[in-house]
Amino acid sequence: MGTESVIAHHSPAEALEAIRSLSDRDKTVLIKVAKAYARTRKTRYDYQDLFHEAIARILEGKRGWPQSLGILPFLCGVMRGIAWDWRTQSYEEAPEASSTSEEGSAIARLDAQKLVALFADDIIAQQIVVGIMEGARGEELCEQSGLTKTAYESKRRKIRRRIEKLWLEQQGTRRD
Amino acid sequence: MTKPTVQPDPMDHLADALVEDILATPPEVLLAESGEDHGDPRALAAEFDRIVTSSASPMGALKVGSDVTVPHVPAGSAWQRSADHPSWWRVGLERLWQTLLPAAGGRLPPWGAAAAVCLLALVALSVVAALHWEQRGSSEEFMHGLTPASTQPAAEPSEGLSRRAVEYLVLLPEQPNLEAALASYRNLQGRLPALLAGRDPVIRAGAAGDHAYVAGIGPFTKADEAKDFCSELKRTGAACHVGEADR
Repeated sequence: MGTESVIAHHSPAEALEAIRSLSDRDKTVLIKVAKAYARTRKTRYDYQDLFHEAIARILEGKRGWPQSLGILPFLCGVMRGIAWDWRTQSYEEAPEASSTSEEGSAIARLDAQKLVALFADDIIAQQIVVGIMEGARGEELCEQSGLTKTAYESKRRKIRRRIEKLWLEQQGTRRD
Repeated sequence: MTKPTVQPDPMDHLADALVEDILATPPEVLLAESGEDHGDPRALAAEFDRIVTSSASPMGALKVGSDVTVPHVPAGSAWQRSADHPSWWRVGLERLWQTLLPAAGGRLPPWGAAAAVCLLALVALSVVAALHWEQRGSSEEFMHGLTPASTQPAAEPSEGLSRRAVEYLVLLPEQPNLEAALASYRNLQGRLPALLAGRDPVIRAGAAGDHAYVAGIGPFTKADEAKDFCSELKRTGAACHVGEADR
């Protein structure tokens, strides 16, 4: 008990206030982050579920917001943790649970094969995607692909946008 | 069943890389992306606001809005648990306990622990009693999202129990569990994107047992609107009926 460090936390009410006061940019970031974490999981839940769950855990006091951390990275961390829980839980779910309806495929569940095929027209992007999935990061990926940092970041954005558009198209909500 | 040790897989790495890029993207670019994808730069921010409003609504004391919609309820989640038990008073008790401990220098003697437990029990009883008699409306509002779904709308709203106008839901057939209720909605949404795209289901506890749930669509401010929507669903072969949102 004596070795426990004391971390000061904001109250759930303060967290709610901070969440409500976020800028449009930060709100957009958080919805996109929720999509990224939810739609790379083999689970029947989608990003709204993930975001709801994060807010619920914060308001319930199960996840305290450390005073030393900004609300944006804190929320991203909470969603990451929940998405991780979902993945471990998915081992206990019935294998047919997410494939009984068209909805299972409508919310694009990415797998490695689908991803590599998505970048068949761009070898560099494909190399970066494969590198990312193998756990490589920043400088290592620049080195592997022979790109400058700026060119790598531009390519990484292109990769993210293509994946986001795939999700949109499969959800049928994109406005053309 | 023992959970296996889970190592990061390729999709975990991908998710982290996507998030890294999102966080590194300038604000104006992100908003432009939202405009490109949804026709409105504020579309995702607006979705954020909707989710926060509906997530915060069952919190009782913390609640600001009174949105009826409970879009998605992952089984066993904090969201579901918070609906099963009014967590705001549980959180209050936990906070009181946390306040008592430091006051006792981090540990309590046996008699102190017993006294603290009695004190907490008394506080809990008074909180429950006070809420029961003084905030009946709030408690019912807190729980309304998970009360058994009505199969027929009541003729008139009960005055004094709710300050809101009566709203109506189009309810799909009751399902034996939450997953099935969500799946029934998702199936219908997949079949009828023109009617249901972008709409979140309203999840209600069913009448046939502890685990039964009903997915609903709405709320509609007028019974006729709900009935028309239900008729439209029925024309496509779906089963539904209209119920009062607060029931």
